[in-house]
Amino acid sequence: MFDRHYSRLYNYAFKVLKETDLSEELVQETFIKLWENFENIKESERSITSFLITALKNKIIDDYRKKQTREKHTNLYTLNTSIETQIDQQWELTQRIEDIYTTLEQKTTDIFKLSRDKGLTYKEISKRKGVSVKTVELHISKALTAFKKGLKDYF
Amino acid sequence: MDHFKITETEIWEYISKTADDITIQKVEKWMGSTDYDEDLFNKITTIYKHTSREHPSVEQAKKRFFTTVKSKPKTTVWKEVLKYAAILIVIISGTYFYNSVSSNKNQIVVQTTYGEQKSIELSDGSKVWINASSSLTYNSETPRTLYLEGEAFFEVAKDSLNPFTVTTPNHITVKALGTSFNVKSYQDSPTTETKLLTGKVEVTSNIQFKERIILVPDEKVTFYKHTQEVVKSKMNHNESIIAWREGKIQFENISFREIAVDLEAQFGQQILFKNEDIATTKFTGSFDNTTPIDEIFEVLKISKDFTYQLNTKTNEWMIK
Repeated sequence: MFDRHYSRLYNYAFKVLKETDLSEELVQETFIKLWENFENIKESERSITSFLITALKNKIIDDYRKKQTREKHTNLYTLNTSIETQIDQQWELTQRIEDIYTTLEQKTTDIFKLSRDKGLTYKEISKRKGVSVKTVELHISKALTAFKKGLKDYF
Repeated sequence: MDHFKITETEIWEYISKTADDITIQKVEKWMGSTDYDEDLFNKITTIYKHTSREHPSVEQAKKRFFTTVKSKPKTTVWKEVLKYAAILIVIISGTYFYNSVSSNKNQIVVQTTYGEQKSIELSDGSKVWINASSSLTYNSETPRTLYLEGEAFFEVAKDSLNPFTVTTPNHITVKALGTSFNVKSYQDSPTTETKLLTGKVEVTSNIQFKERIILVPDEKVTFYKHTQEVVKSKMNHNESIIAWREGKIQFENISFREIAVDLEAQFGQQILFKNEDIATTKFTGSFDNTTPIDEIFEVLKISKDFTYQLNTKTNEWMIK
C-alpha cells in the first residue's frame, strides 16, 4: 500500500511545495496519520486514497499558515492567492494527467514517458523499443494531442 | 523568405531538451519567423511542465515510516501484528570488553567497519541491525546472550523462558523478555546510555552500580563513566528516533566531543580537540550519513567558529 500511494502523494506535494525535504516530511506525516487512524477507516482502496489526500492537503495548509505568519511581509503575492484553491487545483491537475495517461495506449504512454521522464531522444527510444523513429514520433504526437485536448482548461 | 513547417514532435524534442542540433536550429529559426505559433509553443511548454515527475526514494521513505510507527507504542493495530514486545535503545561504551568474552570454539563475531551497517538473523529468530564500527559476539548455542561493542538495534523473538541479554564493555547488562531494542557501545564515549521506546527492560551491572533499573517507555538511563553516576530521565521525541537506521547522523544538544565518537565510527578518522571550549560546545543537527565529514564541520562552524584540519599521515582531524 505504501508503494502504491507514496510516489503519487510525493509528486503532488512537490508540485505544490516545490521543496523536496518538506514534501517528504509532510507525506511521511500523512502516512503516520493514516496509521494512527487505520481502525476508523473502512478498508476500501477508495477511502484510504481519500483519507491520504485530505490529510496531506490539510498538512500543506497547516504548514503554509505557519509560514505565512513568518513571511507575511516578504511575500505579498502568495498571501493574496488562496492556498486552498491552489492546492485543490493542483490535485485536480494531478488527477487529470493520470486520467489522460490511462486513455492512451500502453505503448504510447511508455514511449512518451521515456521521452518525458527519462529524457531519451527519439532515436534512443526507437532503439530501446525496437521500432522506427517515425513510429516514436507518431506516439509522441498522439500523446501531445491527448494532452492538448485534456489540459485545455489549463493553458 | 523561408517557409517553416514544424511538427509538434519537433517542438516537444526542443522543449524536452532531447533534440539534436539540427532540430534545435530549426525550431529556433521557426521561433524567429512569421510562422511562429506562440500559442502552440506555450501549450507544449505547459504540457512539459505539468507532466514533470519526481522520483522519490520510496524504499527509504518506507523504511523511515516503519521505523517511526514501530516506535509509537499506543497503536493497537500495531500490537496485533507485533511479534516483538518492546523496543529499546541502549547507548553504551566502555573499555574492557574483550576480557568479558571467554574464548570458545562456538563463538561468533560479527563486525562492521566504519561507515558500514549489517543485519543478521539469530538462530532464535531475533534480528539484529549492526551500526558502523561495531562488533557483536555470541556463542552459537546461546544466541540470546550477546556482547556488544558499538551500536546495534535488536528485534527480539519472544521466548519468556530464555531472557535476552546484551552485555556491554563496561559490564552493564540489559535484559529484555521478548523485546525489540537498540544498543550502542562505542569505546570513546564518556557515557553509557540505555533508551527504551516500548515494552519493559531491566538494566543492571555487576560492577558499576547496585540498583536494578527498570525502564518504562520513553525513559532512558545514562551512566557517566567518570563520575560513576547513573541518571534516569525522560526522553524527548527526537531522542526516541533511531536515526542511524534511517541513514542519518543525528544529535540534539550534544557536546562536540560526544558527536566526535559518532563521526569517528562513521568515517573511521580520529578527531582530536586542541580547544576544550570547542569540545564541550553543544550542537544539534541531522545529516545523511553520506555527507562528507568536512561538510558537517562546515555546518557546525556556523553556530560556533572553529578550524579543522586533517593530518593525512595519521588520518586524524585536529579541531582548534
